[in-house]
Amino acid sequence: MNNDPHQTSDDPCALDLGADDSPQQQADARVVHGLLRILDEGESLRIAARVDRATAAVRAQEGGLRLVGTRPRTFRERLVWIGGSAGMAAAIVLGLLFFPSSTEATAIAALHSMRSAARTGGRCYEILIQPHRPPMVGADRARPEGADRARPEGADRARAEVADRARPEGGDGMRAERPDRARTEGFRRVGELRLGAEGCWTLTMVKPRRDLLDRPPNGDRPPNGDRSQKGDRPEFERIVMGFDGREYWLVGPSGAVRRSDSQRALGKAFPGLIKTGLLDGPDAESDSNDSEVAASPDTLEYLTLTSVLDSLERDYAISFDSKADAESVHGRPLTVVKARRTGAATGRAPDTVRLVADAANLEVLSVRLNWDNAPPPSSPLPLSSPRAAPPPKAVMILQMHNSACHEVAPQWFTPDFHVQNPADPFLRTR
Amino acid sequence: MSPKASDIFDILIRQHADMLTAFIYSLSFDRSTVDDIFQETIITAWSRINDFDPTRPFAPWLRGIARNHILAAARKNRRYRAHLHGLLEERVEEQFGRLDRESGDSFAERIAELKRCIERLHAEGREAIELVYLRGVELPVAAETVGAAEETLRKRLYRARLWLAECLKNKQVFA
Repeated sequence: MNNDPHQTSDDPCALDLGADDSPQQQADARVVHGLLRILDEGESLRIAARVDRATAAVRAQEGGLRLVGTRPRTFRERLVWIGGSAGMAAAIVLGLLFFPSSTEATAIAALHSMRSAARTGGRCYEILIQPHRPPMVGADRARPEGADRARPEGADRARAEVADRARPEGGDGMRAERPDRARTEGFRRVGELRLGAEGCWTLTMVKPRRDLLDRPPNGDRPPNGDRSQKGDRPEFERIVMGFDGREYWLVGPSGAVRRSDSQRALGKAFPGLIKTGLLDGPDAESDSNDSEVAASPDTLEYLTLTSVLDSLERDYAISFDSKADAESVHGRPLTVVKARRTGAATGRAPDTVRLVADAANLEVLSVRLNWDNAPPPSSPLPLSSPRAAPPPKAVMILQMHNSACHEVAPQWFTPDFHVQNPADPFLRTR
Repeated sequence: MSPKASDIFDILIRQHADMLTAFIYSLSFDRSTVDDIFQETIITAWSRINDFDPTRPFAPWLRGIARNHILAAARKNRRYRAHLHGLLEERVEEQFGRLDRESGDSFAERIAELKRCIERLHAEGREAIELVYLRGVELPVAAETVGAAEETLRKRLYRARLWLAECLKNKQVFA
């Protein structure tokens, strides 16, 4: 059975099965086989990758097609007609391209169309940042420097967790030995991230340099340690960094979080960031090798728009900023999305979110969160209500792609140090 | 700004990607060819988009292109060609045509009944289906996991697929 060299040994549909059944029965069984294949969650990643490859090939051919005698206007009209027959598809495209500042429904439709494009990585980590405590930042502010920052009493905190959402491409023996549920639990880490007090956060996602990953700061080395393992490619790793109006925080490739109110101290951990301009200021302490990163900012990788909007969709009215057409970074057009909190969201979720993304590949370049009623930085914060507010359903999910099995360090929420720089790192850089 | 043709085509392909993948799996006897056939189908569809009659549905047209590529691949192997007889192709297309008419915004919604049928499957069959299809465990490993020979597991899977097809017929999802 199944000794045909052209049939893979793992194919559950052997050719000689069902010889006694009717052709209709065999055909029906084949259809069921095809349908079952796409129920595998790993298959959805593979489908997304296939679509990306195929559409990239189509785009590469697009110019050539127009040269072979097809009148562009007719061709486009014809396709628009096809798109119209698909109803939803046309609405998505028209919403995205014709009416960039139109209704929430249109924006959400566009969002749905973007989702699959972002899910092409073999591995991805999902970081959920969710405020869950009544903010009492005043008490936190009074804490002496050097006190335990991991769980300051009465501070405004966010529950955060990172989980491996990946499904390996193709099966292997490990999957049988380690059921999905157990595997997911094994990769899940939950910790607390203290929220800043001010009205603005800035999040940026960058990829650290390979040699920095080879020599990560304390507490940020993945437990498996061995970077030579197949699929464990540092070039796919990213870090998430944010600024809450008072201090920087940074989530490293392994999930370790460090805080800093000293830009220089943060620079010590990831000197390449300063050279690229993502952090401001002099970089006297970084070594000359960092200039390699500075010269090549395109090597940095960022969040995708879909992963952020995905979590905002439910509780936020999402709209496209009509001014986005006029904005560009180094000639690359931008997509600017604004989200305003609706009544559904509770707790201390931000009132507005502004996302700036590269229009071509939807990579998020900056995220700004604003609280309408946030006090100025120097004033006492009226946020110390003893009443426990119900946790919001979701505030933000940042998705971090990673190529392989990075188990998350248990201490991934141990803040180290502290800095001050209220500027928007991304906007200043670009 | 007007929509680019490739943007609309891109959306259409994303809408039909699940269906197209399932269709290719249904007619392909070699799992390793699925990627290539998928890509060739999309590129062919794009290059022949002017031949498409927009008064007709997009999905069958796309499947027709895919079927031609599958047959082209099968020509290299006499044994496959023998299995891909016309009746099989027609029947597979008929069932996918039925699925096109099922209600649901996505292909996943249109095959929701399949999941319900799996839940009703007998324990042995359900275990095999879950291991091999839903969890993506390779057949040899799955056989070892359930403590059966590979051949036994294949037969178990085949019987389960037959049962699921009957279940879908009873629910009038299949013809």
